Amino acid sequence: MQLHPIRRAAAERPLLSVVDDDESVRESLPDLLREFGFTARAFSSAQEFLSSDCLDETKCLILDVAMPGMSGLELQQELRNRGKQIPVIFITGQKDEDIRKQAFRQGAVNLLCKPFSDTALLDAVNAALPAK
Amino acid sequence: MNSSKRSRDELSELAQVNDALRKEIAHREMVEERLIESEAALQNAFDEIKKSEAKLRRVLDTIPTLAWCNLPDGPNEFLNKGWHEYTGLTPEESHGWSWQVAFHPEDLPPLMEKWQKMLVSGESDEIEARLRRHDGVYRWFLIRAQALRDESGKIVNWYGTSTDIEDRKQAEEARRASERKLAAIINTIPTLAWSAGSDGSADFVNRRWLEYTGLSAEQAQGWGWGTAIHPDDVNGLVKFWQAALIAGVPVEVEARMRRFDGAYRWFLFRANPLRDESGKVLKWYGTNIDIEDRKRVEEGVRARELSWRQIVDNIPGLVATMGPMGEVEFLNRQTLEYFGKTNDELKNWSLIGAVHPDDLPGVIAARQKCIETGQIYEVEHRCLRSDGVYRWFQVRGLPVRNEEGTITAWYLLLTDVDDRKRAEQKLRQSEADLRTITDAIRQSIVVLAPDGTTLYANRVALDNTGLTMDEVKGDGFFLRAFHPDDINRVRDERRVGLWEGVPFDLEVRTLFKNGEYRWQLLQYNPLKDNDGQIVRWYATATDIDDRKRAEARVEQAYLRLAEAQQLSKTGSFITDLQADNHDWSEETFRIFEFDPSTKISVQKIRDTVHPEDLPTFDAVVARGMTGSDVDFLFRIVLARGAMKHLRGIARVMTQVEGHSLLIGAFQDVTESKVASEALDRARSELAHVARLTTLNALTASIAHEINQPLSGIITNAGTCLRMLNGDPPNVDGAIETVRRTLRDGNRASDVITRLRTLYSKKEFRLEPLDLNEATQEVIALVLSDLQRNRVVLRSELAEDLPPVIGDRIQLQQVTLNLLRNASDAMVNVEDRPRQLLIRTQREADDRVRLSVQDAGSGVNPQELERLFEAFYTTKSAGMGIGLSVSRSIIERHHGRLWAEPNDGPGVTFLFSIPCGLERSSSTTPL
Repeated sequence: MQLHPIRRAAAERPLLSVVDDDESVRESLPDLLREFGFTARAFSSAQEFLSSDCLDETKCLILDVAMPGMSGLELQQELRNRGKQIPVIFITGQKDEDIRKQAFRQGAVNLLCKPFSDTALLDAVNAALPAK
Repeated sequence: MNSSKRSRDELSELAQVNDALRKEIAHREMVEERLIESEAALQNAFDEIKKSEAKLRRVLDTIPTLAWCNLPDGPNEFLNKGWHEYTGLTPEESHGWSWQVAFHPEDLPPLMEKWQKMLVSGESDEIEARLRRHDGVYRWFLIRAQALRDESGKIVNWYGTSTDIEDRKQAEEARRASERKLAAIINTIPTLAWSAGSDGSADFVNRRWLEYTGLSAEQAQGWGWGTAIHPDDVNGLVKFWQAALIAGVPVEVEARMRRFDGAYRWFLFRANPLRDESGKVLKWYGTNIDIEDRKRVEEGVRARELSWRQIVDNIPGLVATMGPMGEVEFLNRQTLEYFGKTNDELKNWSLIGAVHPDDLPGVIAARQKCIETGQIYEVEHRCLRSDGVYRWFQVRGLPVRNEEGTITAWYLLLTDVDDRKRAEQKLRQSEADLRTITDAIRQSIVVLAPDGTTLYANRVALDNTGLTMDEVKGDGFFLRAFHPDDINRVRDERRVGLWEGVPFDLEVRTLFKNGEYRWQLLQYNPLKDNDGQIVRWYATATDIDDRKRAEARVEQAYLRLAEAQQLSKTGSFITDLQADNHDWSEETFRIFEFDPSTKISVQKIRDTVHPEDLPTFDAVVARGMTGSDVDFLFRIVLARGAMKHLRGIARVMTQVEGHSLLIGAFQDVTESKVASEALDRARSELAHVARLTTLNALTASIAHEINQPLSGIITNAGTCLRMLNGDPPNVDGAIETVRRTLRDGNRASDVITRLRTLYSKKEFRLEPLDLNEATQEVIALVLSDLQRNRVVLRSELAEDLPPVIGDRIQLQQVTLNLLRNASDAMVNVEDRPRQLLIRTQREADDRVRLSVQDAGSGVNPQELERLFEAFYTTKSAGMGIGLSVSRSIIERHHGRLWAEPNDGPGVTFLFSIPCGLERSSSTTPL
């Protein structure tokens, strides 16, 4: 386990966006990502994210599968439709083989089942970001 | 000188004194002399007295009785030697009043009383008392006392004697005892006994006599006994008695005596005189013997003899007796008068033309035969009346046999049958006329002899049966005409009917000439002659086949109904509640297990009703009284203690005299009730299964629900660790993450609690609950599930919702089920928002309603109701048990669960339940 944060300059800190309807996730996950040395933003729904100004800056999207309104998979589809190639890590509270398969078919980097460990998240994020 | 003179005077005076003195002395001497003389005389007298006293004492002492002398005031002066010897007392011991000790203590008080009286009156008297002998034995004495008086009448002494009367006393006592014994005998003998003086007046009647008459001894005395004699007999009896007194001989006479209760009975009076040596009648002794029973027997015998003779002489028949060989012995008065001959003349009856010459040979032959064989003699022949006219007689004779069986006599009764004979002749004539008429009648008519022999059948009868007149008259008529199954019954009934001689009916299947049996009503009517004798029977036949068949159908229908009632355990009734009049079917009695003869009343039914159901029952009866239809369930407790569930239905059939006549039925639903309870248990099980199914389906959302806070916890914990490991450690950040960890931990715990509550298996439990609150809990549980399905849930919970009584968990399950159904129904909806509206409302009549409205594809209205059938499903997955179970739950709350199509797309499911679970007519255990 890597306990020490990776020191990066502010400019070097890529933006990771978290979209989840669960408030506790929106509170806790950005803090953890910042500890990893990333910049993090949280959105409560797909619509909120789509209407934000972070679409272009977001280097990696950590996306909840089941959400009221537009689901995670639908948002991923929407981004691809818009030509936005943002790597997506799905997080889900429900183990569902169908959803997992569809997520990977749509090019998801990973799918993490809640609850997941900080290192699993870091590994997934690192895998998602373009190698330096 | 004066002295001499004085001296002289003195001397003279002295000489005078001396003289006087001398005289005085001489007188004194004389007196003294006389005194001595008188003393001597006195001494003489005294000696004389002494002598006579001693003499007297000697006399007294020697007389052979006890003698004594008392002083005038009572104490004893003298007791003779005999007294002392008898009592053994010394003179000292008996001195003064001490003589009392010799007397018996019981006799002393009357003795002393009498003695005191004598002392006062001075009269002589006597008394009896017991005196104790020297050896201690008391003997009775007669004590006599007499006063001795001086010339002036003063009592000088009391003299008395005591004479031993013991022997006499004992003899008297013995006589009295034997008299008592005799009286006891006379009083106890079961005969009335009496005695009378020589003048005939009664001086004694015994106790039986008094008991029988009820008179007192005083009333019977003298001639008083006459009041007990019957008024019709008393004069004769007294005369007879007076004659007997004069004659002085033993007599007997009968007379009626009145008993104490007023009834008279015959008695035989017997009296015997008692004479002295000279033959003079001293007394009469008599007895009265009850001869009432003997009298009655005698009278009875006399009366019977008399009446038998009278009967025989007066019966409207001729009676004769004959000896064993047929010789005439006795002929009654009627017989003699009829023939106008004497007994002796008629002894030669066969020779004097008493019997019609044409009949005589037959009569003689018949008599001869009967005398030889001992058979009953029965012949009809003509007898010559005194006026020369022959009349027909029926003569019947019975043999009289002695103990060995030998015929000792014949009794004959000759009955005048002349009128009947003539009537028969007339009848034969009129019947010939009648036939032409009966043949014209379109009904079968048969004419029978009194014994039932067919004499004639009319044309219709012959045509119908296809029989000839000879066949009808023949022996085999029954077999030919009637159904084999009916023959025996008809034969018996007909025999009885003919014997009773009154009109009677028969129902019988008759064979028609076309080979068909048809039911006929045969009606028999007797024709009687003037004497009331049956001469003919007329029988008519009426075709009742159609009626019989209808009856059979009705009977069969009734049997089927009864069977149906028994099979369905349904008993019918017709009831007039106002008049408390009940007409029950057999099955109704069987259901209540009453004897069919039981008189049914509302109270009788009510007595069987289960106490808990009495209010329901009474309400139903009250409703029925007002003429309303009723439908109810109640339990009855049978006499044997078992319980039955009954369903009752009744509706007003008609109104009679202002009363409602209810027709209805009781159905024994015990078995279905038991089955339904079993079903309820099964449903409860199913509900549990359904919950488990739901649980499987919900596992995903549960996982989601739990994983959400878990995820937060783990993330926060990881973040916290990193913050604290930083250089410098970010303590504030770490604190924030710990705070979030705690919050999320609590959140997870809440989820678990809710789930545990929801999925624990529990029995139906009633409690007051807030439906809104319960609904919100369900919403909280399914919210994430709904969100995942992108269902937008809107809730409109009424603020004024009253609390309801119910099973919280079960109601929540129903709500959960409805929400999940609604959610599922919208899975394929893409063209519109997946809107779901849950709403609670207050309804009238203290009910609340919960509705769940979806915007799904909706359900075909025809299928709406089928949704509630168990195992019906429109879904590809799932057991489809939800709605059926949900409905049973709501029904247990006495509520209703149903579905309605929306104005727009989708369906609304609703349930409505009463707030309080007031008892309804159903007694379904919850």
